[in-house]
Amino acid sequence: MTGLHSFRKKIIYGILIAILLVPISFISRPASRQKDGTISGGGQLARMRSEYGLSLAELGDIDPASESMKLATLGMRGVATTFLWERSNRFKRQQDWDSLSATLNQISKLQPNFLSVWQFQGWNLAYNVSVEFDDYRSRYHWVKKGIDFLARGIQYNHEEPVLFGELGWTFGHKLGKADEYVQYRRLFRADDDFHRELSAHINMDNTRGVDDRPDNWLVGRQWFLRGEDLLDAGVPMGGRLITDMDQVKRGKSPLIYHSHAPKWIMNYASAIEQEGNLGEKAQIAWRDAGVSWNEFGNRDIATSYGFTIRLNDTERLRQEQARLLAELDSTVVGVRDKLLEEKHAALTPLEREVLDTPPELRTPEQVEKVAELQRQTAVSHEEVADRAPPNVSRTAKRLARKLLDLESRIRATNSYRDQVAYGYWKTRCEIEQTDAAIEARRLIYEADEAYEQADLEGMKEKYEAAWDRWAQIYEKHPEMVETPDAEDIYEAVMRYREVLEQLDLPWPPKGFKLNRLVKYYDETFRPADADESPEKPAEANDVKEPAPAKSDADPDEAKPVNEVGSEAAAQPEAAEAPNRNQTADEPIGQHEETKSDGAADFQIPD
Amino acid sequence: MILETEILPFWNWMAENIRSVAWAMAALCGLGILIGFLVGSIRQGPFEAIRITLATIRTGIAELLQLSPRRVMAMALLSFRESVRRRVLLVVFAVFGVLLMFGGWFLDPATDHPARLYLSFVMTSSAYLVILLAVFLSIFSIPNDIKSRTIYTIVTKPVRAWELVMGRMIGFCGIGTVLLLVMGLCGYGFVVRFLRHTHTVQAEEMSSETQQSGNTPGGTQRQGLSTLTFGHRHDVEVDSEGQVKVSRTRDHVHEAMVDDTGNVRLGDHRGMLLARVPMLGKLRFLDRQGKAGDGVNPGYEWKYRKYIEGGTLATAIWRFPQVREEDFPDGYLRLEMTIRVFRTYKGLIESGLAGTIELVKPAPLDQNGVPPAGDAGLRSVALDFTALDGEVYERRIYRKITGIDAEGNEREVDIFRDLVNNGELEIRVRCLDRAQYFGMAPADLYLRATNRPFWANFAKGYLSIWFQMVIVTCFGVTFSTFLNTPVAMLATISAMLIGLCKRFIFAVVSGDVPGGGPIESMIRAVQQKNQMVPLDDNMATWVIQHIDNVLMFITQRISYAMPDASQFNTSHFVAYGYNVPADLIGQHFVITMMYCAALSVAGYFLFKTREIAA
Repeated sequence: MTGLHSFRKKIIYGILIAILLVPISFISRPASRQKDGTISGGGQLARMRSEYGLSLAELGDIDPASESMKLATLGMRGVATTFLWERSNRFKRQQDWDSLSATLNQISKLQPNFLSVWQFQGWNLAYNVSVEFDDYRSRYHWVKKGIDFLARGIQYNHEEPVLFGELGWTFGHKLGKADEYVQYRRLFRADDDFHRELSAHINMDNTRGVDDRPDNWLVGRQWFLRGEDLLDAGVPMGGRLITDMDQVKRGKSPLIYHSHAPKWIMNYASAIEQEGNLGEKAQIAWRDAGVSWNEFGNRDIATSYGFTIRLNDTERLRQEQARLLAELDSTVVGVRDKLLEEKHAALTPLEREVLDTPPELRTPEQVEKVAELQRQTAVSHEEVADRAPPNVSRTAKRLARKLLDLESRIRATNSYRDQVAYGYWKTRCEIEQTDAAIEARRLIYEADEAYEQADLEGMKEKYEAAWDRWAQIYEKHPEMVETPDAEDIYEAVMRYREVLEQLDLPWPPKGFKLNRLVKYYDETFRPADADESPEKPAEANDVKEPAPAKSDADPDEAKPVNEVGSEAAAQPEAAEAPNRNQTADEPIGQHEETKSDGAADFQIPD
Repeated sequence: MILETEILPFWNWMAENIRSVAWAMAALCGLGILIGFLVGSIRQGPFEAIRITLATIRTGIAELLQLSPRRVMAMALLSFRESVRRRVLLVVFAVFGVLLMFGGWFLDPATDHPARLYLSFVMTSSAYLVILLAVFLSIFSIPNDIKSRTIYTIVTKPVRAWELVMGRMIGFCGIGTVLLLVMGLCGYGFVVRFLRHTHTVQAEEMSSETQQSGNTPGGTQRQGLSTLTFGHRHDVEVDSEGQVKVSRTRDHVHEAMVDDTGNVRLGDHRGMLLARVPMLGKLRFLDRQGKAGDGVNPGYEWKYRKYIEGGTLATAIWRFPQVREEDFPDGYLRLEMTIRVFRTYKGLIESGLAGTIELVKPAPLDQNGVPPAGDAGLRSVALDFTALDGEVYERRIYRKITGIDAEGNEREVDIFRDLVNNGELEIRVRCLDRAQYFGMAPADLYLRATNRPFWANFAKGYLSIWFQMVIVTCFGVTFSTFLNTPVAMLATISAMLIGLCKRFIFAVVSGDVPGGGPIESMIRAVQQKNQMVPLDDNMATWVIQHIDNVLMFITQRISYAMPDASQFNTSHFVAYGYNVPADLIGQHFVITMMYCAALSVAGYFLFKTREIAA
């Protein structure tokens, strides 16, 4: 009886298993090759994988080690990763770097398509772990580990522009702007084994610098260009993994992302000039940077306003605006002036008095009131079109709509130009290519060299010759003076000031031509209670690395927002200001450069 | 090497800890009797249960005295054969084999310290697998016997409960031992094989340099870089006499020879698989005024190392006991130091920080047994060094050295005769750079007397795993005497976890780890509140926190009786290349044997519980 009961149970279980297999098979049936050679069909899961581009072969390399680790965790991948992440934090706290590195390796194998792990831990190794070492060679070694980690992330995730951007950034920013950038750049140039590894991924012939050896800025640029290739091929900025599902928005804004490749050439040019390569190579580098910056200006940039812009289009858009405005005003003659008069007539005497007060005499309340009144009395294109006679009403309304659209494009373009200081860098590239700028930089370099020889008189002479050249340049381009990016010139002036003090000469000397620049820097970047003594000549060793509160508005891009010409001026990034006044003796410690979350730091600001 | 807890000499440790270990053992025995009594009370009523319990204790003592080693061994052999029949052994070994076969996929030979990585991997995987095996074997045996009624066959034989419990424990430990031996041999082979590598340097890739000896040209020195293997190269120098010098990279050097074609061939590695015997001292600090102090923490969360300020009188002092001449037959003290560097300003990036080492004749301890800040009037001249942050700095200090007496006169002194005072010697380290810091912990500076064979150290590492396996087996068998299989497994795994997290549990109870007890933590996890955010001040929180207090009280009391599994782990000694101290092995042995004894007693009474219940 018992045996029969048991047999019946087995039969029932068998039937239930068979029934359950049907929906499972329906859901997870793999895609198959069709007669025409295409691969399609398959179950629901296969179709979804294909639709969202989630099959491993599409995402990146399939690593047997990674796959076997995933299987070994029996579906507990998330738990295992969380456990390992916790362990990695403990190892970091206990300064057990080998174990940290091994644990990160395991995490990445468990979840190779979890981009935040690659971003966060790549940064962690290159920026946070590296600074825990005292020897700059050890630091370089750990920066390389961070770079290797990111490069491995790319192998698993071929179509994630954000990872290419991270790698490009680390090559440039960490190796080229850290406190130890002199040593890092030197070590990188001599690192043949590393170059050989890199040659498997990028064309190293395009990365050769002045000594015909790869330069970190140019290598970083190649990674950005690979990312741009992906974008140009239609891969979304946020990558293939999540964008379609619209769950997590990550990735840089296209504007910032595309600005890096040309900016990295500028940084390269600037770096080789600092190293004393002031000649044709520097001029070529600045010319290339200018060409690349111009190409960036001609690129269609997607905006958060729902349309694309080109940074180089401002002038064309303004001309078009002027033409349409003239056309509207000629279609509806005199209406705009009449409307303006009406609106002014409607103001109270007190409001009129406020408006008539000269700007320099206005109180803060009046300034606020004036802004409000200006908004109140402004005449919109729609208002003009609404007053148009019936026979031209449709034309006027069409012109008004066009003008509105055009103006929003101009505003967007200006806003985006401001974000990357487009005009400033364009002018800078033009200036730096000139013989005058090269000569001016050469004189500063030679003056600094003279300082090394304790030749104060020689130094003074060279500096003064340099100020003459810079004064000529600033005369032609006055907009280049009041900008945070003239910092290197200001620092040179401070070194000159120290020389004068050592020679018992007064500061500023009679006929000094860069007073405006000094005044701007002193007022903008030196707090009132700062030490009045000038900074010592900054050795490369003593320059503090800016705390990379890494965000889309990175230090390079966000600093200079003074646009050329009529474009709006803005203040430099607040975080930058304290660093300018940092002296070599200020406590630095082995500060940790934090990154709160890989994904969060790459949120698109708009 | 990180050594967070001082390793006491065996007899000192016994004197300090034997009482608490004995209490834990007594608690385990008492727990066994209590459970037996409770079960009996439920079945028979409390008064009858008291009578039966007392009778069982009496019988237990009598049976213990009649214990037959022959029958115990017979039971052990039976357990061994059963385990072999079940093929669990084969499965575990197969998993280990697969791990070793594919281990190379996960382990990066280009890591900075490859030996550490490979040794940690092999020892950790062996430990996990063998403990897992111990759990599975031990918990299935007695419940299965009861379920299949074979227990009747056994108990009708002249086998006593003691013999059954102890026989099972010994049998399962035996099978675990065999497996561990095989794992150890395979693991050793794996590590040796994967670390083995060579390099070459082609003659045409070497640069030559003619050395000058005064005005006459000397021999030609050649320099080059070895081939890239496992992500590293070595600098190689060949002097005019054909002597080859190989730079130390990734913890090792190579033996090298120049072949007929002028190429340099680097043989097998040396220095990766070591068992250094460090002679550790006690560390104390002087503050910046030169008075007794504690060292400072520049802001690290991990407080293992203390730091001394450079350019001040702040000093780190190691006092070494038992410095004997015969331990240093080569005529020099071999000092090894791994200190950390903390800069408050960058200074010169390409230069390391400067420090000094002084060998000092120690002054006698004061009446409180505390060493005074000063010395006994004789010290060596300060020996300069440049700090290698986090790297092992080696220095040979020859026994004849210039010393300075209390009057400031310099004279040659002999370290062992003049500076060692009653077997004690002090080594003082200072940082010279103003406002920069050196960080150190007690194990960061030691005198290295000799090396032990690596294989013996590896074996000692496995011995520690064996101790863990034995304790887990005893727990498993004990739980299986009165619980069914799934519950016994849960109980054994819980005991292991509590042992593993013992320090964490104490830290949670004491409030060192913020975030509250288990329920509060779960609520924080669900609500995504971090550990520092206070919960809402309401009745629910009050109730939760009080339930947590009760739970944590119980957990803490249970954890007292559990072994601290983390202290049994000696893999870091082996991986970092340090000899596992015999004192530590002795301590582990005593703890293991005491647990075996206590768990046997508990197991006996719990097994008898069934009789009490019946």
